[in-house]
Amino acid sequence: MKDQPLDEAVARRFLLGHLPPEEKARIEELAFTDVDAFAFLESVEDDLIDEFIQGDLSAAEKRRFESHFLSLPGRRNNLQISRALQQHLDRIKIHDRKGFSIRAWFNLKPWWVRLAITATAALVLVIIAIWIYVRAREVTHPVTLQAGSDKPAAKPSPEIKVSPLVEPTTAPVHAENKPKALTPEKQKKSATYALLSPSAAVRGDSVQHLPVPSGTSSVTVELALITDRNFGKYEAVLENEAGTPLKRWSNLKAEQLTSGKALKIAFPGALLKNEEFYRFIVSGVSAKGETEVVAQYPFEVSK
Amino acid sequence: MQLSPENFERLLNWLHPNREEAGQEYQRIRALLIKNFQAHGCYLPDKLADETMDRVAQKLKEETIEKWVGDKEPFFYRVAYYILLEARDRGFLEVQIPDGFEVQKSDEAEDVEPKLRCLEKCLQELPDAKRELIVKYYRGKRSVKIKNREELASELNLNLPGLRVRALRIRRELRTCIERCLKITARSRKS
Repeated sequence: MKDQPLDEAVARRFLLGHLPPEEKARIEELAFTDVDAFAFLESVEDDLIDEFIQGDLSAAEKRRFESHFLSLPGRRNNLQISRALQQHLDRIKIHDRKGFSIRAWFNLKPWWVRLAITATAALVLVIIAIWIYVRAREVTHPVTLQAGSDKPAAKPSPEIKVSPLVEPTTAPVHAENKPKALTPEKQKKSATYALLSPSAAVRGDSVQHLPVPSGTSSVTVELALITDRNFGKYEAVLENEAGTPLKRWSNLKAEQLTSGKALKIAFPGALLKNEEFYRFIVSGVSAKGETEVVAQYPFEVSK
Repeated sequence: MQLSPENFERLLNWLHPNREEAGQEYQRIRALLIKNFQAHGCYLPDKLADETMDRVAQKLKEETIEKWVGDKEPFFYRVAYYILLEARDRGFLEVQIPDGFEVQKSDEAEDVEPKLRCLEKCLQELPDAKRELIVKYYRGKRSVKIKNREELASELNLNLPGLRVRALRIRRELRTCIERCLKITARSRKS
């Protein structure tokens, strides 16, 4: 537009017949001699029609729209087309609300939009499949450390399986043993999971090492039960080297965990001190309520 | 509308007291009108220019002649603006109906709004980019529509007035297409 002689407010006033004669004459002349000015007026005209259809015009504007605006050539026709366009868009909206339609999908243009959506969906599926595979491997093949050495053990024996990041998910944890929920970030930094074998299964003088890095807030241990006897309930006690009980658990139930039948218990990392010896003593509780020690799990805490 | 000899005579006298000079002025202004109608994409611009000259001659009153000061073209231009609106209403853009463009006869033709069917047909005939633009441009109500338009303008690297004009041009195309479609529909109903 030449020197921006027409703004929206003036255009609206012109179209609704509100301008004084001199200004009206100026805009009529401009609209004919300047294609852009004519197009601009048409676009404002279009907006007015749109607002009229949507009921957005003020009462005064609506009156001028009906008495003046629509009396000029082409305006009624434009109004009808705008109404048709609005109805068409409303139909599209209703169609959208009905959900996915195969026909609509194949009518979707351009073709590269369909291709891009399909490719993205396929990529997401592949990522999910890889993630499920990796998670499954983590659960079935946890990191294994032999007691007192770095070599992985061939058999379940005097060993501690350590998984510092997450707990296995094959079986539920009894509510009373369940460690407090931690955020994933916190779990990564301060949770330790370990498998302890009973002393009877530990070879020679080897002692199981339980790595508890400083700052570990929660330790979860899996106490492997290597016994033919089955008890409905178990009790456990954590003692220090002097035999002082530090914590007791009752009503424990055996679960099928990564090591086979085992008990899972959790306690705060602060209970353990570095380079000190501890042991778990596990007792089975018979149906009559009698207790019987079934296994001891000595270990040394290391960083 | 027939131009009376009196009106024509008055027009020439207003253009110039000398008959020959008046004739030249008439031709000069007519040429300007043709040029402007062409710029607006009108077909038969000379016919529209003649229509404007005739309308001015009819509209010209003694009072106007007496009061008029300065160039006379603006008066013609102002009348031409309304001729342009009428031409637009008749479909003044030179948009060709694409090959294979057919409007199917429907058994329920009486029940279906023909304009809507033509609009849908014409929307399908638009290039993808234009169709997407016009649908997005008119989508939503009030603040949603404003937001949609701002986003659309940003996507297309346009300011809002630029977007508006682009949408308008597509609408013009649609309108011409719809009008032709309606004519074809009417013809096919008759046959």
